[in-house]
Amino acid sequence: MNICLKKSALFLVIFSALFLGACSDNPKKKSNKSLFESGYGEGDGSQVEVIGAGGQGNIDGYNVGLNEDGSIGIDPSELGADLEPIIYFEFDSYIINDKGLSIIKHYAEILEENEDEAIVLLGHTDERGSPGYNLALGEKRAKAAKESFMLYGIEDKRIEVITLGESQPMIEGSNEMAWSQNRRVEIKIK
Amino acid sequence: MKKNVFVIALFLMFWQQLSLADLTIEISSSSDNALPLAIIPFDYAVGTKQPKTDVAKVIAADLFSSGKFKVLPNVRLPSLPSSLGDVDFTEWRDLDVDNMLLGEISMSKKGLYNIKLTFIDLLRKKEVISKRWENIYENNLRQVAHKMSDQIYQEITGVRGSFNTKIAYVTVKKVSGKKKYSLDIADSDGFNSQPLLRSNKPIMSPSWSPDGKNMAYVSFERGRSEIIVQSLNGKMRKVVASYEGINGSPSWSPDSKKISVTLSKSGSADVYILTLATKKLRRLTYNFAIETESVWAPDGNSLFFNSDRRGKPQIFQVQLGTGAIKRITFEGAYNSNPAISPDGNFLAMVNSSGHFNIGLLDLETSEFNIITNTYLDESPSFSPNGEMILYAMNDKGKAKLAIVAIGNSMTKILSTESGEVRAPSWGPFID
Repeated sequence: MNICLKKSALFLVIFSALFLGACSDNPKKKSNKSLFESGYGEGDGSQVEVIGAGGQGNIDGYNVGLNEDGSIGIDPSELGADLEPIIYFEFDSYIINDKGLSIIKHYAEILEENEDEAIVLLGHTDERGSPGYNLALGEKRAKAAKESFMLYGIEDKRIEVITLGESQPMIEGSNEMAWSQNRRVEIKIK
Repeated sequence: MKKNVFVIALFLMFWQQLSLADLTIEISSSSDNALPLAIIPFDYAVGTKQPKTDVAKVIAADLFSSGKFKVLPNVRLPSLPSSLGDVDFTEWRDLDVDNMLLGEISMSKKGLYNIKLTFIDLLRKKEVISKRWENIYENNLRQVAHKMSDQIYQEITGVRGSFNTKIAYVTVKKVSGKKKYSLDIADSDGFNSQPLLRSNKPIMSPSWSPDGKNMAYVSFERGRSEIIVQSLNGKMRKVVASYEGINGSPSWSPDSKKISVTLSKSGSADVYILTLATKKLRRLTYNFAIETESVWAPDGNSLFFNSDRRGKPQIFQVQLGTGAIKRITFEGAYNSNPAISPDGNFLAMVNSSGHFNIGLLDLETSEFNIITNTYLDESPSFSPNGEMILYAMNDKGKAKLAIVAIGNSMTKILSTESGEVRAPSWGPFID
């Protein structure tokens, strides 16, 4: 039994590697024209282990290997801090300020010039308040950003909205400096 | 980029390396009105192998954590009686001690443990609880202790104890710079932790089905929120909601057949009811504002949820029969994340007028009190007997759990040394 399980695990590792290899060779991507760092939808593969409770010793779970990565990998130094593709918000607010609008305008212009590119807007909140409410607030922020992109002429279908709520802070810490950085919408190339 | 490829393979668990990360417990404050209680060190019969679990200590910790009992330190015990006949009642009356627990532990013929526990009412001079457990594995001694704690709690307070129950929560650990998430369950005192799911992506909002068999939770394993129902034994696992937008805040109906969820597939976040057998959805709210974090009233006839339709989040109640919606909270600028007591009489929630604490609203009298004094409190969950609330908080930048006893200030902090712990859900009674 153990040998059988080990073989299956090995199969998973190899299969994941092959699949990831194929993925990184995506011919549709034209990221060289973009100023965005492409950080969404690629990567090391997400996976979960499902485990049964109530047992002792080794438990046979199964492994669901997946292949999407929501990791956040922006390097603002490449972009110039003023134009980093992040829009910041006040606490419990989804109103986009003038700075946010100018950032959206800048990236909307890039999207106009790169008609094949699509974006995903990742909505985040700070850690305060309840996680379920923050999940909804993150979506409101991302949708507010999407509406602004649409006002600048970007088509609905080129903009995906994903909320991550309070689950993925940019900066760890329980203080206003960290919170102000974490209340954000990130603009990512798809 | 859409990838709908699932690779499913068997996985070999190296249990010893990955498990056994019990939560660490500290009591942050104590209560004045606690009832003094004597727990006499247990008798071990000749030839009994000393178990790793000190049953007397587990019972003492359970009862102390309720805020309703204080256990006499061993050094203050005037004598060590081994049965009712040995007790000198006057010496205990002088100490103002009304109750006493005696225990005997011996080996059974099978090499397992036999435990006999006797709870004595020193005023009435009689045994009020006498229990025997036979052929108990060492690993199950904590459970025996929790069962006895439940009986003692019921004897003294008239309310069923909820020590012999489980809690679920999410831990977050950094491994080589990357966050690893784990959905775990443990005994109500944080011991015997076991993982149900590990993921590289966030896990949120676990909710225990009232029949105790399944867990519903939100997983970001495919990059966005989805609601998953998983059996505790890990044999069943289903994505039950993966609509465009939010799939969040699952909460079980009292009959364990439906879950209420938050979906934003029609625009803004709204509350829906999903019937698990038929996958049929019923939409409950239609407002353009945020409506989320629904919980069922114990009678199954209404749900409480939070909405920012008035600008800031407040708790509302929707009647399933009529669809009528009524505002419930008025104290403070921010009320979210409702939890309803098992008797339906109290609503706990995250309340803020600057600070975030757990508030408790008496739904009959409208009396409102803040019952926690920790920092950034969230995710309240009632114990199945309604006497305590488990919640998540932040202690100097680290996420921990706390249990507060309603009606006294006793607070117990549960934390994990190697990471953070959040999103607690208290499981049902185990019959």
